[in-house]
Amino acid sequence: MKIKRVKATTIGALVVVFAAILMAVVPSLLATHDPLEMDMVHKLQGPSAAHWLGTDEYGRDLWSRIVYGARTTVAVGFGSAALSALLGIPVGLIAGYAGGITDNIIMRFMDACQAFPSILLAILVITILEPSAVSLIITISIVSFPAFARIVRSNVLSLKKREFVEAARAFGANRLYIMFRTILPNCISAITVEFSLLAATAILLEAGMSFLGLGIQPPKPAWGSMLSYANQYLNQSVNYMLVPTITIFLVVLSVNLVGDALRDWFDPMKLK
Amino acid sequence: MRISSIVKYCIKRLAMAVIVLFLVTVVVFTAIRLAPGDPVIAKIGPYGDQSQENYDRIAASLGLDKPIPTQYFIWIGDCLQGDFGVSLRNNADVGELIGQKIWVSLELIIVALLLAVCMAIPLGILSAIKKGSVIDQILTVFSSSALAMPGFCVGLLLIVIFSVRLGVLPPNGYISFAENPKQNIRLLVMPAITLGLFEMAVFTRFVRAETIGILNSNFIRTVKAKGLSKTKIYFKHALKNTLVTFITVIGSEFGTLLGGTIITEQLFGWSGLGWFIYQSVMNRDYPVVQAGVLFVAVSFVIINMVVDIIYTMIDPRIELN
Amino acid sequence: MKYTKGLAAFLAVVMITSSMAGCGSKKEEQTGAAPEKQEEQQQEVATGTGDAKELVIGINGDIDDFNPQTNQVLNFINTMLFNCFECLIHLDENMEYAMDLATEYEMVDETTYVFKLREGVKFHNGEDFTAEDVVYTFQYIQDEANAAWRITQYTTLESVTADNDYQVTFKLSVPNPAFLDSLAYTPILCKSADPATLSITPVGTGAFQFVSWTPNDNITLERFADYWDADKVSVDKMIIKPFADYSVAITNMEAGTLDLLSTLSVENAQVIESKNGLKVIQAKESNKVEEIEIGRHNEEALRDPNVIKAMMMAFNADLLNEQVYNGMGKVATSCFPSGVKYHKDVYDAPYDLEAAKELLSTTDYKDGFSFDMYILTGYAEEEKAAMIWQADLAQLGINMNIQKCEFSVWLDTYLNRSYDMIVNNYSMVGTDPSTYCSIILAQLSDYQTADLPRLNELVEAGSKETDDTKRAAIYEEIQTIIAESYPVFTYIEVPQLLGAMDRVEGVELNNMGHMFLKNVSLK
Repeated sequence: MKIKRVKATTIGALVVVFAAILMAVVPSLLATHDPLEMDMVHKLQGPSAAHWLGTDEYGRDLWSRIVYGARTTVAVGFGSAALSALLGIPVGLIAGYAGGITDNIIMRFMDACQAFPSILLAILVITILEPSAVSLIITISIVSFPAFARIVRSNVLSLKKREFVEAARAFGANRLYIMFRTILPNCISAITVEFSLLAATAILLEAGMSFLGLGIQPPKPAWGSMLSYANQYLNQSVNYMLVPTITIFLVVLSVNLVGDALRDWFDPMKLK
Repeated sequence: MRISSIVKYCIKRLAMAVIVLFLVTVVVFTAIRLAPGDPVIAKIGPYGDQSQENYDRIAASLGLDKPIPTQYFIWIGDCLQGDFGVSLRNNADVGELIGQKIWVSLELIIVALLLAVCMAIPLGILSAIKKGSVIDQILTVFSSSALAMPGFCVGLLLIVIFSVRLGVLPPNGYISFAENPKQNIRLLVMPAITLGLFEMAVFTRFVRAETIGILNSNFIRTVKAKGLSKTKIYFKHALKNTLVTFITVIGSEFGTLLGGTIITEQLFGWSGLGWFIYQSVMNRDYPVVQAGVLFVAVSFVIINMVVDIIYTMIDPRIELN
Repeated sequence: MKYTKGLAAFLAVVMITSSMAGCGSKKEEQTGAAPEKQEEQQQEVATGTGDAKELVIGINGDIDDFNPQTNQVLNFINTMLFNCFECLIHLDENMEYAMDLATEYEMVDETTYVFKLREGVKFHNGEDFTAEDVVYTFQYIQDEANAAWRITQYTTLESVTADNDYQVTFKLSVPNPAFLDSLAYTPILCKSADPATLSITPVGTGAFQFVSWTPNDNITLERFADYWDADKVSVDKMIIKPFADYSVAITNMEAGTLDLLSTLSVENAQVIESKNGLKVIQAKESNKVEEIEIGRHNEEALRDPNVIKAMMMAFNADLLNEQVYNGMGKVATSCFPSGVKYHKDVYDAPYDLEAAKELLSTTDYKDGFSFDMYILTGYAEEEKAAMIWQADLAQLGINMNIQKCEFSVWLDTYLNRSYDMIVNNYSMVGTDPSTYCSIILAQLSDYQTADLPRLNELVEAGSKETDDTKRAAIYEEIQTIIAESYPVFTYIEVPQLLGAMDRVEGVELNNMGHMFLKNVSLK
């Protein structure tokens, strides 16, 4: 077996994802200003030595807001992917493993969740929960866990007839053991790939919801809400618009690329 | 034999569809009523008569004084008879309102999808055949980038370039094709590109992966061993398979877009169904939201069913169920 | 490696095109030829449907109720109320009563008004306008079943009688100094039009006749051929378009597809002013105020006069006016706008953080407290006022949680009085403070001002008193009480602004933001 060569783009993508996570974990080390500190006189400025990426409509430092915003955005992205996994994996496992009427009932619920567009469902859910970061995570998870459940289920369906599962059953292992200890570890590649895709989608969905005025509450920074505020100042400062746009673009692109790389890594045959 | 199994399958799918739709209506009916914000209060307004009597009178006139389950059964009963109720805001017929909007959205979605499909098939196949080449890499970067841009950023960029800078396209609005075909198309260009670009990226990636999968399959390898060129074999034997699988993807994207193009429609003032439902959610116009979501869900279920059936009919290798 | 280069190239393209966009706002720097070219293109874009003169008006949300007696949304009132419908009289640009459906009026005594009506006026459905229509309108408003919102303004209206076809007499039970102001924005309905369809097919006497409504898309009105003052009307078609996003609306104006933009914020006005071919129309004065209503009944701390005063001393109204309102606003000095009768400078808590800290330290809340502030989505300036105050209050240890909500939720919160604080704006009708008192202050009497009985008595007394010196005393005392306990805090007077293309002339805009469009001409 040869050691696989890792593509330069994958390394780049990993660096970006790592940087975003670093910002989220220790923003105070990277930020140059208090992200809430206002300076109305110096509003909507371009990049300068004092403000690396310029300032927003309150004269707040954009670099520091991006850094602190990473916390919310990364939390929304990975939090909703994690919550979807937490909901989707057991549901998919049970549906796939139990089969029959249980499967049918569960899958009809999943169908119902997916029978209307995710953005519409998200809007319905967020109007009930009232906008905040936690609501966004819950909303996005509700919208995306059925897809997760489906993928786990289809993996389970193909795995459950395999010899090692039959063997475990023959040894008298109970259902839970088989589901979680025998089958689940073999779904891990599909789960990891779906996880990264969902995290990327969640970041974009946060931007979309903010654009519709359903994002997180001010003055807390988050990339999506920065973008939707910047949109109002498009006519005055293009810089303000570009900063969150490029940040979101780079991070989402990187998360997707990492996901692609993971898929190639887990499934060398398919994309070779 | 084959026909009867298809009929049986259809019946089974229909039964499931009815269950799914029932769940959808219950969810929407409850969800919109759980949301804070009362349509009765909205009707009274900030400066109207705030007395309890006035509140009760208006609630009764809107039919919102009854318990929710009763309201649900009244509504679903009316729906089954083709009566979708009237808007809480102005008594306009909901069926008519939604009916107007469907065609507007359909025009946008169909054009965007056509655009995406026409681009994605050749680009996806090209990318797969020339896998690893510069062209493949450029296309991959392009499609990954299109997937990573928030949709409204692309739209805003188009507006700034084509409407403000170049002044060649109107930035916002909708005119029906029947009324003014030229203007209709001019208004359609930017929203269709915004939407189409994203879909194109999704499709190109799919076609590419699917094609690579087929090119690597044992079938092609065997034929290749006989000395034929890979590409030739692909176009002769395998293209059909790719397209068949592709139909399901297009179908499910179509279902998602119907009612899901809210942001694009709002940005370009293309007054379609998604934006209308969104606005009605914001106005807590219960009957419009209910009927709109019901329509979207029915279309989604039907499209998926039809796609599945077409799929199985074209490709005999796939078992029904 | 190639891959990364491709990415860099793509980013470069994004940045170049975007910076091109940035240059767009600096048109003055371009050569003389460029703007002309732009205009040609605008012309081309604008003329979609032949030579008919179309006036396209942008608003910030769809209108979905055309019944002028139930719709109280500014979008509707500002654009349609005075152009599709007409009142007996209206308040003009100089805040004087101008005659519409009436030709003259007389106040016979304190409770009796006689109006002579205009002859030869037709409704859009072809019916003649007579005194019976006026009688019908007030019957409609006073019938509770119709849920007309003006019902609260006509509780003292005892009777309306038609003396003959062209004369009506109004009889009040008690004197009401604000009666004419109320009439000046009460549109007259047609008695033979079906009240059931009023919400979707409005019938008035105005210069523009309703044609169609396409939800979320446009409201089309056309010139009413039988309008009594038809000679003055030169616009053939009036189209109202909702815009969820005003930066998109402004790009539409630049592209020449939008003539007028209603309810414009100062920030957007600045943008419009910087563009070639666009201008800003401003009312002579403004009756519009931004105010914060304070839930004294919900949060104990807010009932402590020293706490609330300390908070007011942390409100930097001058900075707000300079930076957000570009100096076009007027820092409020009382709950009434300065152009209104009996106005008096009563606020005495100038911005001073140190003094505020000191004052707060003398109270039970020296360690601060938390409260919720509700603001409405889509009002950037109100949001900024809250945000700036939030930053200053944080220095006093007071924590403001901003709850930015959509209209349905905002309205629920507002009417249920379940807020600690809520931002609202209000355009006072007329020049008499009694409408403000009856609409805003009287409604607080069961909640925020329940512990201020004197204030509630004064509000009641003011609405009936006709003697001018007594009224002055009453309203001065009201202003003083409000400046002590702050059930409402008016922080700024905001200009009434419209965005317009240069070709639009003859728009009349009064202090309340009402638009009168019959004299508009398009060059």
